Amino acid sequence: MKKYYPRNPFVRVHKPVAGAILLGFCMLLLLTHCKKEPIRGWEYWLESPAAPEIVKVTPVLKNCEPPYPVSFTQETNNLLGNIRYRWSFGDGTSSNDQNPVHIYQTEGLYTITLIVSNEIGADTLAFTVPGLDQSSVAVNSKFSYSHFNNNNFAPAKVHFSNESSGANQFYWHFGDGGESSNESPEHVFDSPGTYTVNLKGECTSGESDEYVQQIFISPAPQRVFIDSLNLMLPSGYSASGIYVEMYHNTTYVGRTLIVSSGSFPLKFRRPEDFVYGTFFDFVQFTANETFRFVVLRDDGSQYPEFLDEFMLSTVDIKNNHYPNAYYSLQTVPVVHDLFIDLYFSY
Amino acid sequence: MKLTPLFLTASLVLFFAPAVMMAQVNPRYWDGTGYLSITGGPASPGRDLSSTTGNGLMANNGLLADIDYNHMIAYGIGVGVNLGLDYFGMNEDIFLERTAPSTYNFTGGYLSGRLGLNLLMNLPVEILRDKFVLNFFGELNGGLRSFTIPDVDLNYDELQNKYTEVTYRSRSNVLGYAGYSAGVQFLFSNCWGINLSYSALMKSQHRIDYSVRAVDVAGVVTEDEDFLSARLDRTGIQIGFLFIIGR
Repeated sequence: MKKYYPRNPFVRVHKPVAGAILLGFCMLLLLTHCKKEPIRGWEYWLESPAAPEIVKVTPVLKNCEPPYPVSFTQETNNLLGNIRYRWSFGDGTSSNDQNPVHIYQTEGLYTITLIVSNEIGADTLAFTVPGLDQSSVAVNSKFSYSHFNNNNFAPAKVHFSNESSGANQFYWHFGDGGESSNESPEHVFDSPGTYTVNLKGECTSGESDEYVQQIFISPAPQRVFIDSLNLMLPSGYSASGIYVEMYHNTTYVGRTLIVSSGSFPLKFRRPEDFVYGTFFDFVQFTANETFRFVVLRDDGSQYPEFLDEFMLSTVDIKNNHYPNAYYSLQTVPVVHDLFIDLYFSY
Repeated sequence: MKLTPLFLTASLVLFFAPAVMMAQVNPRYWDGTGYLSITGGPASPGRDLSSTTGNGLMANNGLLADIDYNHMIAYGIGVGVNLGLDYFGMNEDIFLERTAPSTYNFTGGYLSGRLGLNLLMNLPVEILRDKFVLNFFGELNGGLRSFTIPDVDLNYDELQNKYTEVTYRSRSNVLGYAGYSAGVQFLFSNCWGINLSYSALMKSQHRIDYSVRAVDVAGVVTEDEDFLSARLDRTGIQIGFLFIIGR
């Protein structure tokens, strides 16, 4: 049977094509006009900063009998702008010092008031000092400590905070032969190890108390791992081949993969996003040691285009402080390795 | 002589009369041929895009550019492809009025790239055969478009805002679109022509993803994924050239 062909060439050849296009248009119209989320504009990220908030006040009696010197140490959050401290000691006197010392000539029940204020607001705390209403108090020696800049690698400087009460003379033995009679001393431990620190507190009546605590000083880490690297770039560099090369002093360590993304930040994760090396080895933590991150764009030419470079010093790494101030320490090194996350902004 | 409307009308009629008398509608003028057109012109954002109210995107008037290749099948009906671009600046004054930063930086604007198909209908009128043709056309188009927001960096005083740095960056957004254009083409010597048309992208609501990174006064970084949702229609004028292929 002879097949029928319409005379009109358009109908014969292009009818299915035109039909498909028309159908496509209809579907597109349907898709693009579907009801979605409500109309939504920009979110502005505006939030008033918080007013000062007094967390606690630690009063410490500095003698075991009257007159009682009392040191007041306050801890306040949200310290912005011009901070003012107003202390009323309950005996008719006042002070504007941040952490004052006040002498109460006689025992008594005094209500102390602290007001911390700035341009945003104020916070008030009223309290009494335990033991201040007694004719004598016991000597109680105690201290806490913190590693300077959170660094417990040897050589490590340690700051001791004296938390004794009832004492006004102090004798420190640091366990490495070092001694001090300061109230809250600092001491440098040159070698890694465990040290037994002894504090003896004494008051004017001759009464005394001792307190002992062990301090662990870690050996310096050998390797610094780059756990992740987050790179913020202007949108002009989107969808172009970006990568980061790493240098330890002048030694090439490795680089990231070349990535092309339409959006930022670019995120490089260890180990799959790194080529050759993901850590700086044989780190000595010396003053002139540098860690360099060079941001490059591979535009297909013989030499990549240099965009920027970021330098870290050992102090930056030891202090957990990086350029542009965005950092986090994932693991405190106890097995001689340090893991860091880096946030760079170009 | 005093210029009256009657005189002007009479002059136009007399001027165009010979051409009109020789004019011939030729629906098969385009059969089997095509053209490449390159056009550009001013663009106006739609209501949501340009709105400066709470949910508006605060876009200014901008520009559009298009490259089209259309192939005519028969009787003035054709299909083609379109590559286009829409750009709208950001109304920075309004945005800054709302955000009130200490310092700021805006880079780029709302940018949309388009890749789509055309379905068009032509009505060619031969005024001077093989010399000058007036082609009236209407075109439906649709396809996919990208959409990105401007890069915005805001810095605040610590007493003014909890977040001292706020950075907005666009994510990749691919959306569907449908639009149309209509106008007239002045064709010369069956070779090239001038295009003058009105173009519009129809109202369709879409989600535009972006990321925000905010740094508070303590240096704590907060990264958030957010979105705008708006009807992304726009209108515009296309002025440009076209080059006839296959005739």
